[in-house]
Amino acid sequence: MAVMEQTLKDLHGAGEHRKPLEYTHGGSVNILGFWLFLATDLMVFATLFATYLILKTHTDGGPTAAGIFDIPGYVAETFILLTSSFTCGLATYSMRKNAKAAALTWLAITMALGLAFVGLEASEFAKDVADGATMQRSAFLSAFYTLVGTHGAHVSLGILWMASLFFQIARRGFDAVRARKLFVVGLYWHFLDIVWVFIFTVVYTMGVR
Amino acid sequence: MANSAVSQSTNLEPQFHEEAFPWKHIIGYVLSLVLTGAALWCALGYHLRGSALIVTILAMAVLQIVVQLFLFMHLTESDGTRAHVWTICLGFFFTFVVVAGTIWIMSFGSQVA
Repeated sequence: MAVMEQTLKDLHGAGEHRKPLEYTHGGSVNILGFWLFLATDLMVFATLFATYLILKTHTDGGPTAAGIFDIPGYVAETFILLTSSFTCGLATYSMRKNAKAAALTWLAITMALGLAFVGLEASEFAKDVADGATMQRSAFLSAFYTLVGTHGAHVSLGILWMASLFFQIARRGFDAVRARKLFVVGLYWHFLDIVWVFIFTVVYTMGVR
Repeated sequence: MANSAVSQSTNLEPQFHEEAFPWKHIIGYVLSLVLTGAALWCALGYHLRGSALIVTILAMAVLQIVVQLFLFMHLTESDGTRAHVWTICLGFFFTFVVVAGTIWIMSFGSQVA
C-alpha cells in the first residue's frame, strides 16, 4: 500500500526534490514496470538455460562444447560486456549530475563496446557454422544457438534503443522523461550483463572443462 | 508559464546523495573483473575440478549478480524499492525452480530408463 500511496504522490509531483529526476512525474511507475519486465525476461532465459543444460550432451556424434568453444574469443566477449556495463553505469551517474556531454560520451562508448561484442559473437557463430557446427546439426547446437543468440539479439536491440536515446538527449537534453528512459535502458543493459555472466559460466567455462 | 516553471524546478541536481566521484561504479567494475578472472583461473588453470569447480564458479556468478544489482542498478534506492526487490527476487526464485526442476526431472527420467 505504501508503494501505491507513494506512486500516487509521484503522479502529482509531490516530494520530487528529494529524489532523482527519473523517479518523478510518474517515472517510478515506469521503473517498477520495467523491473517486472526484467523478471519475466529472466523467465525466458530460465527456460532456454534449462533446455541447454538438458541437451548439451546430445551432440549426435557431431561437434561438442569443448570442440567448438574458442576460449580467447569468449573471454574477450566477457570483458567487453563487463566494461560496457560499467560505462553504462557511468552514463546514468553523469545524467544524475546533469552532465549531458559526459552522459552522451559514456553512452557512445557503451554502444561501441556493445557493437564489438555483437561483432565478435557473430564472427564466432560464422566460424562455427563454416566448420559444420550449424544449428540443425544436433540438439546441443540448437539449444546453444537459441540461448546465446537470444542474448545477442537482446544486446543488438539494446544498441538500437541506446542510439535512439542518444539523439533524443543530444537534441533536447534531460527532463524527467528522458532521464527515466536513460535509467531504464541502463537497467536493461546491466540485466543483459547478468545473463551473460551465466552464459559465460554455465555454457562456456563449464563447456570447455 | 507554468510549464517552464516546472521544467526549471526539475533541473537535474545531485539531490540524491550522488557521490562526487563514481566510487560505487569503479568498485563494482573492479569486483566484476576480479570475479571473472578468479572463475577463469579456477577453471582454465585446472586449479579445481568436478563439483568443487561447478559450485565455486556458480557462486562467483551469483556474486556478480549482487554487484550488478546493488552497485549498478540502484536496486535499493528511492520509493518503489520493496516492490523492485520482491519482483526481482521472485524472478530469480522462478528461474532457480525452472532450471533445477528441469534438471532434476530430466536426469531422474534418464536414470529410470
